[in-house]
Amino acid sequence: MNTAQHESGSPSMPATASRVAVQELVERLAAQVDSAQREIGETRAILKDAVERLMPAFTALRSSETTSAVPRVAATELARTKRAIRASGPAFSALQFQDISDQLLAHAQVRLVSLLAEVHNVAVALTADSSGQVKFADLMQKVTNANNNLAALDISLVKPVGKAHLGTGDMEFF
Amino acid sequence: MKTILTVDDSPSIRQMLAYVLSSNGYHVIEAGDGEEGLLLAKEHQADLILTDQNMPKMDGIALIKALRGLPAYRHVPIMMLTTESSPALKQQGREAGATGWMVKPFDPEKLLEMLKKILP
Repeated sequence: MNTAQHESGSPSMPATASRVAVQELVERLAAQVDSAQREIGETRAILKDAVERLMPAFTALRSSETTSAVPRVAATELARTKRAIRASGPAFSALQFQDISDQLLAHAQVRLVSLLAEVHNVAVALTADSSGQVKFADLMQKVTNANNNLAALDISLVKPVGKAHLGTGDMEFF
Repeated sequence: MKTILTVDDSPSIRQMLAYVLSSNGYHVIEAGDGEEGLLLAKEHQADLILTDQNMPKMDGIALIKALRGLPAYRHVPIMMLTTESSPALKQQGREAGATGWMVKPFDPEKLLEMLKKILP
């Protein structure tokens, strides 16, 4: 049995220095993924806050249209509503892009959380046991599990957004 | 007054739709996902349904299939309002019984024009 194997008979990590380096890399990856996940969460919160501040403006606009003390003839009222809708068109588009962006960010967060969990599992498998050895078979099992879980993640996540440009959308009747 | 059921998991999209539709004389009912949409559709007879595709619990195409199975909604117009624009998904929507497909972000004026065509 050479130094790459330990008492269980399965191959182990060849050298402590290599194992420590890999473990350090895994921990750094985990820290970066965790930070990215939190930053995306903060970005979503900021965007949500911005939209929540904007939406009352629409509500107020709607109220001012319906509670005016001055009676208007129906045609004038309709024209006024049309003008208001037309004027607020770009704002509607911008708000919808916030929603679209939020869906993409939410999926990115799910991916990062899953990635973090798998990185953590691999980090645990890299930790030496009481004999100071890392079981290579255990490590490879964790790597296999991580591969399977991350592949399944792509299948399980519903595609949030199918939009690649910023123009308003087309319409068609079947 | 015509009743429109909007089904979208985004509260801000639902609010925008409610604003545009109600200020143009439509009565609006809102649902946050396909399951709730189906439930509300059974409770209140809608004249038209606007539904998103990607939603939790039940997506838009599944909702359309379920609605088309109900006698009260066999001929009610159902428009998809989604960011999705792939021909394959549109085909699925068509086969499920969608009346049409509108890609987000929607233009409020175009949406109202479309409604006038469907709900005279």
